[in-house]
Amino acid sequence: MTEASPRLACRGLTLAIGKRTLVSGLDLDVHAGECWAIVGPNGAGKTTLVGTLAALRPPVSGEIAYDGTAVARIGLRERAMKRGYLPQDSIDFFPASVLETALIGRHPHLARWQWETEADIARSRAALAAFGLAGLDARDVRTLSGGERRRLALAALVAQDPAIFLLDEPSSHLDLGQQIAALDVLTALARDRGKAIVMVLHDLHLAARFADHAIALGGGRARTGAAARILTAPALSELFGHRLVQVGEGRTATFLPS
Amino acid sequence: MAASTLTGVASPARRAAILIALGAVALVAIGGSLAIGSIDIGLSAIVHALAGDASETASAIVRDLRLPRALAAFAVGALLALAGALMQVLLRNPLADPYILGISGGAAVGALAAMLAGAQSLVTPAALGGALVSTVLVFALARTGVDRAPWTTTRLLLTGVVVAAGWGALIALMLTLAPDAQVKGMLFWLIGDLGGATLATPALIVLAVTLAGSLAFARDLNVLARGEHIAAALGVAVAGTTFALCALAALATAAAVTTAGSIGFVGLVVPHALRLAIGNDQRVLLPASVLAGGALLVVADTIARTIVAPVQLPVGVITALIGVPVFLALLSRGRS
Repeated sequence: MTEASPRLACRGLTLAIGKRTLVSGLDLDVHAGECWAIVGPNGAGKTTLVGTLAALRPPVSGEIAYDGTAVARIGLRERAMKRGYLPQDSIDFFPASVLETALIGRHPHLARWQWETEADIARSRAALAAFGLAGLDARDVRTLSGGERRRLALAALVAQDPAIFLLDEPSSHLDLGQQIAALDVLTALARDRGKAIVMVLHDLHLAARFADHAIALGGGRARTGAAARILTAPALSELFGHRLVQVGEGRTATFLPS
Repeated sequence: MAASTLTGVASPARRAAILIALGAVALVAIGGSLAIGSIDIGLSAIVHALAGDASETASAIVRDLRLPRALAAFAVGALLALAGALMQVLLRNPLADPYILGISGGAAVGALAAMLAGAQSLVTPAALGGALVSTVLVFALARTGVDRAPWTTTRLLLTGVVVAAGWGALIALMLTLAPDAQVKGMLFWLIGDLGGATLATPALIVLAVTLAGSLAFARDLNVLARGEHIAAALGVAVAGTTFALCALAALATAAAVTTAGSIGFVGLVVPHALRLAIGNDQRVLLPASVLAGGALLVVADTIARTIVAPVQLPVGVITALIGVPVFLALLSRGRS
């Protein structure tokens, strides 16, 4: 397609869990450099939506395209170079060093019999440093704190270097300062390197601060658009079923329960 | 290679050193098993025997008796350790072993049935048949679930455990019905014994095939070890890869139990211990498991046939006697 194809697009996307429809007929265009937040109450389908956009689970109906190509026509390995996915939680089943874990992100870039190169190691080290994990290369991942593990997962994703970042609660397990630092790194990738980001965020002040667009998911439907239009006190009060009051403006807005 | 500048990832030099060291250990173990026995044979006599210019007695002992048995022991130990390493990663459970899907139970039922029928020559083919029937049964039953997923490792595991319990009941039944004279032979088979292993070639061929096949997916295994979600997001065809590698592990296990009965602990302890010592990169761990598992079983079998000679112990007794304390030590070290 044309050069102006959005990084990530979906048309007529319908999602359901069992017999409950989460959203129907969702159209979405996420362009290079954009940062989208998915907000909504528990069980609204935020995780299902971000997993479906990552082509890790099939939708009930609808089409998803990366850079103008339908995902069905993109091979698994090529998909992994186009989009990266951060699950809500991960478990460390086996011992592994921090550097080895970050290097996992390079998997789709290597041929079957190829070993990681010095360049792969350098890239992974840089990603670790960006999330404040420099110098922990040899640490066993099972000795890390919850926040360190979360930043390690983000570093592995940055080492993977996809064009589209699909993140399920990237700020979970992080303290306030780390939340801002980690999301600063990610949004800088969108701003400076043309990455497209779609992330589930529980904290509305983080959505207001970092997202330029938003998807409000709840009650079986989705509202999409510019963050300033979606993240308003009346709209969010209806979404969460509790009256919220806005404190502050624009990027420093916070929504508090009244 | 600049090994000293790397931390957190094994340098190519270190990877090579690990495999060369384990290869040397395996060679020493095999050499020892050729030398030690009812007649001790010196190193130069072994070399002459292998080259074919030794005395007839030494040549016959080394080439016709000890070498096939040593190679069979190496192949069986290597197959079990490889299958164990694969199953531990595929099930993401460091306590998984090659028999977790019930393959040894099926083989045992086949072998014991042949013994019970008095058809000693059919024990090996019957064991192979039993192993294959059990494998196909477990995979087929695990596929037909109520949910839409083709199959999951959890269902595979549960099906394997239940099918193994079924085989266990049949084994107990046959042991109860068997005449006393046959029970000892049956127990030897169940514990694992290399006394009847005279032909190592089939097991060595299966070893070469399964090792090459699993090495081709070794980096995919590294990703699968992180969990299925992460593997899928990194481009691994999770269901297909898991299925293919489970099938390879099943083939390796079937070849091992067909050759020597169900020898315990090698498939559980060797990959587990190596993982703690050299890390969990499957590209190193799988060949290392093959070398260490093979070497361990060669040593265990040499002990089994010499320690209370002329009585030969079933090698499974020795692997368990070595395996239990080693494993308990590893567990308590892991906890501290």
